Amino acid sequence: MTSLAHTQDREPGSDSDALAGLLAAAARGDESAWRAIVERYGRRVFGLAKSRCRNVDVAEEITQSVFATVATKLAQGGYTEQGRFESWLFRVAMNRVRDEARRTKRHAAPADPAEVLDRLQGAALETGPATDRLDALRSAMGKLTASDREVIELRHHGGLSFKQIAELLEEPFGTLLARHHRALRKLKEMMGDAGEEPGEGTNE
Amino acid sequence: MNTHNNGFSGPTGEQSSPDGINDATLLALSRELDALAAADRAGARPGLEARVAAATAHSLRAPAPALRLAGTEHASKSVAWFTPLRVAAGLALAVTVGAVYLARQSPSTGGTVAAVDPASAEQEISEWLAISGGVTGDLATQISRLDAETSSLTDNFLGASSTTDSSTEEGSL
Repeated sequence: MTSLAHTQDREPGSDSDALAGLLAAAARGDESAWRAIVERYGRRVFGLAKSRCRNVDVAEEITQSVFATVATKLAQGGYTEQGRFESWLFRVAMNRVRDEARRTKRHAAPADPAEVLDRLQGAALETGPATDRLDALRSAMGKLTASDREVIELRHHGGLSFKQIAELLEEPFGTLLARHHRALRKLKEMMGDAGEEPGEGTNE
Repeated sequence: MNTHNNGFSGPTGEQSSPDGINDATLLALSRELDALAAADRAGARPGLEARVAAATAHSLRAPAPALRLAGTEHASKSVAWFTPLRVAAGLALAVTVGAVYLARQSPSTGGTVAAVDPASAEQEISEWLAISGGVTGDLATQISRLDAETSSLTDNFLGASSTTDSSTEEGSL
């Protein structure tokens, strides 16, 4: 597990020194550095938002809101790079996603059935030719508790290491691992695990 | 292996069992979650990053230092403005306490005056009159005589100070 943590401490596909340089440049108002930061993390933030709200437009709004907050904080000197940018970024993102979830819950009653149909059709188009298996998995995720779902989404959609998630959620590393494992088991139970052979991943 | 256009690999695609999952079924499920995440990321409309960067770049020009300085200035101003107010409030409090104290003292003073025995007061006056003028007889007569003398003295004083119109008044006496 030690080697695992060491491996996952490094930000995927990035170099921490380069990131520190980009953040410093962006804080000085360098828009090209800012674009590079958005290029690096924008899609992951979008994926996290999309997983929860299931709507492309809302997910993009959330993504913009997250990066607007980050840009403002950088410009204000409200963030000091200590190798925890991703944890901070996804904390902001998770807060936005939670806000949106609460807002959606408050306005849960749709007024126009046609609008609902449009949204459902739009969602189907947005996800593309999703397999039944992925649809079932998505549905099962919706039945997880909020805390279990957050761990799954931060891990798989956000692409964070367990150490980063532990920092973000302010929980011990071991507790995070246990929670992720428990959430996977719940998903496995809900999926029934029918027709899926071990090691037969759909993403390979 | 799930990848998307910024080269990010899913966390569980890094090692054979990066999450410490020994259960092969759970490992497969974890990889499916990676695939689901990749599908969600790929669901964005083209040009997502460019739009987000363009829409948020202006936030980099936020007047950041001014916010902190404004807070500092506000703090110093608040001291400058509120010190006289604090003094005034202290004075107002002292005046109020004093007024309340005096208001409470007044009834007790009045009570002292009211407690003086009228008989003893009359006796004191009589003694004073006896000492000052050797007056005898009852007090009412003496008082009437003093009153008449006082009036006469007053009229004389007024008559001396006036020039022409005092004859009628003098005649009435």
